[in-house]
Amino acid sequence: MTGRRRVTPHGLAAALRLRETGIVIALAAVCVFFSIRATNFLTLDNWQDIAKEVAIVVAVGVGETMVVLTRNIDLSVGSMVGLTAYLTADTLAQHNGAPLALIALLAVGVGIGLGLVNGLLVAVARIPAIIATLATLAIYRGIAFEVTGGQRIAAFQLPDRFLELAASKPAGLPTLAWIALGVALAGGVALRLAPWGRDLYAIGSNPEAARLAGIPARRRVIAAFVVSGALSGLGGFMWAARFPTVDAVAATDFELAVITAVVIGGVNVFGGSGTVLGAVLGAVLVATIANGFTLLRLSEFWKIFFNGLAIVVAVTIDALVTQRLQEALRRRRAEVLAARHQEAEA
Amino acid sequence: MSVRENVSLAVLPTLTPWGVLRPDKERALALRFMDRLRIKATSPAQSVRSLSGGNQQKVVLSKWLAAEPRVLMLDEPTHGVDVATKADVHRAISHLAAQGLAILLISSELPEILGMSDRVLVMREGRLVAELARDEATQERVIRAAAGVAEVA
Repeated sequence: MTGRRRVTPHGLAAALRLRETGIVIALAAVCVFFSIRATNFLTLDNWQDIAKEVAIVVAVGVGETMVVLTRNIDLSVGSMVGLTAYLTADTLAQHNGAPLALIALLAVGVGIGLGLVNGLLVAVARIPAIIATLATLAIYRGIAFEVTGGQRIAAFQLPDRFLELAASKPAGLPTLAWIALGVALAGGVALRLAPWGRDLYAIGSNPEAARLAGIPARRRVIAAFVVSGALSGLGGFMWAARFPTVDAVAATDFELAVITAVVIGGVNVFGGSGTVLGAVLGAVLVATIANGFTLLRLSEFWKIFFNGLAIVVAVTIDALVTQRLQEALRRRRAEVLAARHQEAEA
Repeated sequence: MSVRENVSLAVLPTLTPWGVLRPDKERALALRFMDRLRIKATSPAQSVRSLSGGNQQKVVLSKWLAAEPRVLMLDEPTHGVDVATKADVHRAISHLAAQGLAILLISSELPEILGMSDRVLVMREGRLVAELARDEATQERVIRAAAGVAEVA
């Protein structure tokens, strides 16, 4: 695209879509690179691993996307996942015969409660989300320490049918990934077709205009945090199935993985734009890079380093694209105005 | 957000039978208003931010007209709008008034008030100080009332 080119609406729409295409291209490039360098990268086994790796990030990332769309952020998702993971494992260890759906509902229910606290702190007590959820990150983690009392639950204490969730692969895709896919589809459709989904975009892109348009902003923001909590609860349930031991420090720093995926996926941290598809692609990209690095036996340093680099690159590209669009639009507006003035004078 | 998303914002519930948005209906609504108010955008998907000031105003107007109100309050509807579009917005307002809508126009621009209004109410320090019919409203009278200077007989 040359700098002088006028931005047509088609160019605009294309540029907005570009965000997702960009990640797909990056993902393709990464895949090609690892396929050449790492012999077992292109195996079904490895892809099932990546899918399992991504599943929990995606499930929690859908909720995080909704929160970020409203110009807020939820830093407490890692603590919520950890707490609900322990509650899930602990309950199942004590009641081996309990129906899994009920346990999942329990985890989601706890998540809803925790998310509601976040929502109330942000929307009612008007504490900036970054501070409020930083506080609950610590509080929920503290509760986890209290609840576990230093205990850990090992996989052998859990019923096999629960561990099957992580092991089974119906139609070649791990069950956990199917759950994540379902969540992503539901979340994506809701953001596109449910009126309240549209409201989240409106609130994030212009809070004042949204309020004037009669959108119950406070309720919607609370709802976004509640969804984030609920999906973190589901994520905790998945976490307990996936990892061999669950203790008070489970899912520490997990919020960073989720926010990384969301940001690389092009969800604007200043609210108002972004899609679930983007967040999912972001999660897949991050997990694929991490996976490839492991296969190449590169040190943990490079993994983390590249994670950071990916964020910088993604956000820089976003900023450049936005800046370019705005400049082009300004220029175009000036041209139109100049033309009109000439008309008026003639 | 796009023209389409803005125009539908105030009437989303009517476009969402069973809680699911009908994109076709939403698009049709946007196209109807783009046509009616002559919004210069190439498609309903165009971002409002990329429109000129006047066309942005028309989008705002569309948003509320879509709700089919009986009373319309317009606060500085031509603020920051170029001359040609200003006439467009004025035409649209007159057209609405002719259709029977009650319009309360708030403006700090005298020519606009005098040109558009059937009745002019002048406020001074938060109080109504004058009510002038269309033919008695002159620049001088309005300013006098607003400034609190007694009329010279």
